Amino acid sequence: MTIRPVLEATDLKVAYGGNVALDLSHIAVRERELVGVVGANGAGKSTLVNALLGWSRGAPKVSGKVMLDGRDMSALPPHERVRSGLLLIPEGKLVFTQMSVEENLATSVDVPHDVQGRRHYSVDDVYALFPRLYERRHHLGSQLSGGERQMLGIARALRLGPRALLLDEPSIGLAPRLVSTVLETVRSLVDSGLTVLLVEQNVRAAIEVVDRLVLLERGRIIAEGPASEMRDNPRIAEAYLGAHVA
Amino acid sequence: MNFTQQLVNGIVLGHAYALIAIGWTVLLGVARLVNFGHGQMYMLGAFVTWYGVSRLGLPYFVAIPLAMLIGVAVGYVMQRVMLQLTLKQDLVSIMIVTLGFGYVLHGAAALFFGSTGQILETPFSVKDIYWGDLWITYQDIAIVIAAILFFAALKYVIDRTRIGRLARMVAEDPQLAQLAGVNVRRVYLGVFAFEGAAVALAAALVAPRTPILTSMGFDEVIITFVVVVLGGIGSVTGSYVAGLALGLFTAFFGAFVSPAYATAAAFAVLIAVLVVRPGGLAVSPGAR
Repeated sequence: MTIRPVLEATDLKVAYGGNVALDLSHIAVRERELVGVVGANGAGKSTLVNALLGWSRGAPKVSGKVMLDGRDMSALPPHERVRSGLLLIPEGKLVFTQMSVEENLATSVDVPHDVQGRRHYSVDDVYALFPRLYERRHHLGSQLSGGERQMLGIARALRLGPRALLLDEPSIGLAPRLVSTVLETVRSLVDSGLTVLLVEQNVRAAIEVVDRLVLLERGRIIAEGPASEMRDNPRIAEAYLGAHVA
Repeated sequence: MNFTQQLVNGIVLGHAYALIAIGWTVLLGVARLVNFGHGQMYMLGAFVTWYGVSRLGLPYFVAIPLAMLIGVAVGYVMQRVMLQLTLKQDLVSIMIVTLGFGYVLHGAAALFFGSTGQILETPFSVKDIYWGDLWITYQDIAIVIAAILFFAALKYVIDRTRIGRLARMVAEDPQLAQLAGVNVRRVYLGVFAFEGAAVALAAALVAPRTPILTSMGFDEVIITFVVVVLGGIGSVTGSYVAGLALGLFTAFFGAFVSPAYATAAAFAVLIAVLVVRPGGLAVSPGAR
């Protein structure tokens, strides 16, 4: 029996003006799976997660089909996809800087509590996951460090009851110690039932936590497979892990 | 010159200015948008109230919500028409479209209400209080009380309620707000509708102080512009303080120098303030 993926996209194409930034025939993330998408700058990693949510700070032309639990999301605006349980933690600005941590964690929209597969995290749950946020709960978003903002970004998404989480470069700008802390937290979230698509430039760190790895180049998938196998993929090993392949 | 009388005049005028400007303050603060049809929306609010009281025989307190309802409808229609421009933040087109909307409102109002001046008489505008040399109408007192209550309620809603948090999320970053599940289009529609209601309320309260004409509106836009910029874009508290300051300045300048130059002097103050504090009088950027 084939298990239906939680998140699936087919014939996903994104173009800025006449330039095609992404052209994927198929990508899927299964239940409780952590899929890593790696690639060089400009490979289309962020474009991929943004397109899955139908969200962008620019104005790209997006076509293709995005399914969440078999439900077609393609025609829905970003906020409807979010309410359906597809959450994106973008690269760059993650939190509302003029609001306190507490306010950032207060949900401003009604989140359905009766949908199977969606886990609901209370404020106490996310404080238990990120005790640092509890200590900083009265501080403004603008007063947080990069690592704290990353934690708050993830915590904010968890408060919205995710079915699948899209994480865009959570390690960017973080100290090496924090990178592994953040990625291990993501791993623990997956182990507790979440489904995650992780975009990451730090392949060395990502390959330690993901179940499967997808390698993007110029907007196309050029290799994919279980993390254990991809570690030995010559392209990955040479270009991203610093191994010398004879 | 009676100093106390001018102080009272300034306080009343200041609260009137703040009340007229509050809709635009929220519009700018939340949606980063301008509405140059604001003055004509004020005119429409005044005329709907007048029509309700004088022609339909409605009590003043019924005519006010009627004017606010019409204001909500006008704001909603306006935003529906230019939703795409709003989402693209195409400010030049929005300025032109809202200016055009103002002229359409002016024309429609002249057609419906006629172009002769009218007096909006209310139960408060005909009652005076004399205290020594001091003179004030009940309408003036109503303006001050309504403005204080309205600003306090608005500040509470913005700072303490879910709807206020939604507005602040959209104000800070509409794209990020979408990722929190916020329907940004609906917030924009709500803000325009609020502006329509707020300016209609201001008109219903302030317009009884002077004769009303369908050609009015320009002065109200100018006053609003000065208050909003002086107060700091989007700052509710700043708008209140700036409105009050402008009212006091206008009253005293009019008494000491000449009312004829009060608007020019207000703009001179605006320029001076903006040179010293480009963000306006608000305590800090983004202050509410």
